[in-house]
Amino acid sequence: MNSPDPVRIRRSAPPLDVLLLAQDEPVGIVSLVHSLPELRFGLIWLDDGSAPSQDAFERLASAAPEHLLHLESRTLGGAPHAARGVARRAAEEEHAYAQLGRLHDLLHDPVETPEALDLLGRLLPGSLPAGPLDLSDSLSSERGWELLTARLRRLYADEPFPALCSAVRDTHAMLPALLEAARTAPAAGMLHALGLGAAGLLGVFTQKLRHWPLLVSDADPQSLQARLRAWIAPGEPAAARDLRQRYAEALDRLALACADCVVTPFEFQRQRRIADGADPRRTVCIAPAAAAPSAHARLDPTTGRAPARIGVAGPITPLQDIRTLLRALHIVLPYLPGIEAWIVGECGDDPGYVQDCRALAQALGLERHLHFAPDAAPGLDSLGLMVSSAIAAGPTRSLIDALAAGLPCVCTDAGAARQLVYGLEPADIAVGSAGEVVAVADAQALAAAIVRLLGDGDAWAEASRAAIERSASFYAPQLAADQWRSLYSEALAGSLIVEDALEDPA
Amino acid sequence: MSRLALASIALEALACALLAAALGPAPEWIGLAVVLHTGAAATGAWLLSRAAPRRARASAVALALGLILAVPALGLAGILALRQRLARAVEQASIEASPAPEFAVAAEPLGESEGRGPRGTAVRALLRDRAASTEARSRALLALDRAPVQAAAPLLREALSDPGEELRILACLMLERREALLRATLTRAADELAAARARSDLSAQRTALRSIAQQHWERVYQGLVQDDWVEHVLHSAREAARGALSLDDQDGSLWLLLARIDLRSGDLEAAETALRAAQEAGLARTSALPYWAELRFRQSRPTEVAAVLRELGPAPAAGPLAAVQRYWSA
Repeated sequence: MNSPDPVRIRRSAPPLDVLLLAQDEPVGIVSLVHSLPELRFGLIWLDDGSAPSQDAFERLASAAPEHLLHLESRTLGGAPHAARGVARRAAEEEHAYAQLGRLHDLLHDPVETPEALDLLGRLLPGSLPAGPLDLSDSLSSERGWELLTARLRRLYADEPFPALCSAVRDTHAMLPALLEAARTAPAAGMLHALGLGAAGLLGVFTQKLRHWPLLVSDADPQSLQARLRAWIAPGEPAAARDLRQRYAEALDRLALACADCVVTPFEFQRQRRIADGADPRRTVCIAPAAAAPSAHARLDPTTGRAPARIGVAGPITPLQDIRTLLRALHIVLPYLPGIEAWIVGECGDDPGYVQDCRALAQALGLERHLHFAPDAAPGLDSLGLMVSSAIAAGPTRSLIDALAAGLPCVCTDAGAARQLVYGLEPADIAVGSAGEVVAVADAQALAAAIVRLLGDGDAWAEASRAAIERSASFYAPQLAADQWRSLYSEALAGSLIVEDALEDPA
Repeated sequence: MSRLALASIALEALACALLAAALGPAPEWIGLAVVLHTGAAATGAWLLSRAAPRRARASAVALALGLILAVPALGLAGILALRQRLARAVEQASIEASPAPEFAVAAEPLGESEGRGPRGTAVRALLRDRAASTEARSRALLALDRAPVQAAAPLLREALSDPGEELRILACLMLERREALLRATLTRAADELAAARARSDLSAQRTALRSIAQQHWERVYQGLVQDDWVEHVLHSAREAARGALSLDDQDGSLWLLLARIDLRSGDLEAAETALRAAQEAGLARTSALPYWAELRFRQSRPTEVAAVLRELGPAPAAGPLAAVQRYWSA
């Protein structure tokens, strides 16, 4: 069966310098590629078949810079798999299936990742001369089915079998597409998987088959949230959710263990990846770059204080905990009667939650003070504070841009808040506090911090100075580009072992 | 002063007189003096124990006996004075000091967790054990998914400020999922109400308003809204319930819902009116009895609380209500 050519752009013959592997984050990819014009990039986009994924690919294709020489899209799970008909002796096949069974068992246990990785390498087609087992065949063959059912019955004897089977099938559905993409990937000097999940696994397969250095970057703080959201998906028995989760975690661990370098934007993510199995010596942080501000925020010359106008880091989602922010504003109101709050960033795609927030604002008498119109929000330079009430690491873009504009930030203690407000390395900490970090879901503390900074011109000015200095020293666009350039150079030169400057708590 | 107090004073006075005689011309009276002194001490101790709170009675008896026996005459006077003061203090503090029965909303087991997740009190213990692994605590949190909502919501809310991000996200998503379900039903009911109004269908309007009132109430009952928003949501629930009742005032269970809303808002007068209307509309009195009991309790009418709960019969209740019943029938 002939499938459509997945390659959209083929501008010159390989080899490429960097082959990017991505499943989302089109904006991040474009800015990364744009910032390094001297390198020859290629990109394999993993399309999950959804409309947003296809739209993102189209946007990417239309904005592709000249030095993105290769762009292809691979549909996950949807591609028909043609059996390759590799002739194998029965004994070899039996041995290969035994190894596959062992691999499945090893994936259940984080401690066994190195052995699992070794087995995976031996099972991948083309990696053994004696005719190895094709992983993607493992579900469609009778022997594979027996192996799977025996294993599920052993591990989950009392659980509903169809749901478990469905979890296994979903996890395996992407394997044929990933293997095909790995086999046919254009020649490149190195691989860069932008994210874990399918992109990370494609990185592992390609590295094992083609022997190129692999760099894994984990830019998306939403991935943990997406994984947990899937975990509590209704209508699926707990055992099947558990199985799905175990597979997802195991595949992420494989990618982290395989990677020659793991890059995270912030230290909290680096620590999380180390806990997930990444080698601390092979991890590094490259912070995202701030947008250049049009002007810096200033004190109101008549009052000597900052304007009582705050930006609220969107989107309006339960994880951003906008309700705690509304309760904090209710507390602030008697102290700053003219306070205005503007949602900055995205509004959120949950109309029910947005509606609830509006109702709560009305109930608290805040309807005149809170503006749910990100498009109409005033510029950062005319705000007095940037506030984030998130209970989990959210999009940090608003906070980074706020720092660049000299806008102090009041954040809840989640994700990168401490690093952005108080700094991380000694030189960063010495810059001073660019605002305040308060406990999660504590409206009282959030309100107190807002009143403190907006009510004290001197404190605000000091925080604003620290914000500008921190942004210029640690979040400048050129800095990020230089760090990527240096990392890619090392990888291409085959010397990609990062001795991290930070002291590792472990 | 009570007769018993006077009697104890008289006994002590007689004992003192006999003691004086025993020390002088009639030493044979010493035995009788001791008996009378002991009798006065016992009477004094009994008086003090009656005035003391129930949990302090044993210590009151010990104190009184010790003091009176060791310090004749003055000891008794001191104990009687103490008894007077204690009786007044206990009387003044009796309302505050009465321990209310504990509404333990977390029924056991906390949830039927599928597979190998923790159950019962293990869930609560694991969630609060910050030294436990994130995986174990996450699984404990997931087990709440099948727990009664009133038991799960406070624990989920507590987990929102947990130091572990994974736990916070899970708790937030689980709470949000419950809210989203209610919101969806609410939106559907609001659409149905608009459609029913457009075609002037009174019966459909009543059904939609009833559903809206129930969904708003559920948000409060399940602990999904807090602080100032509770009153706002209760107001919406009340308005919808009244709207439905204006179209059909013979809906006993809706009157009962209105009574519960008013009880939660603290409008006791309106709650009483709604409870009466519920019964007039044909609602079985036994269904309303727990709410009558709550109303009377909040109106500070304790004798009526006990009477209402007695109406429930010897052992009809289970769960938290059973504890309340036991307390009031003691």
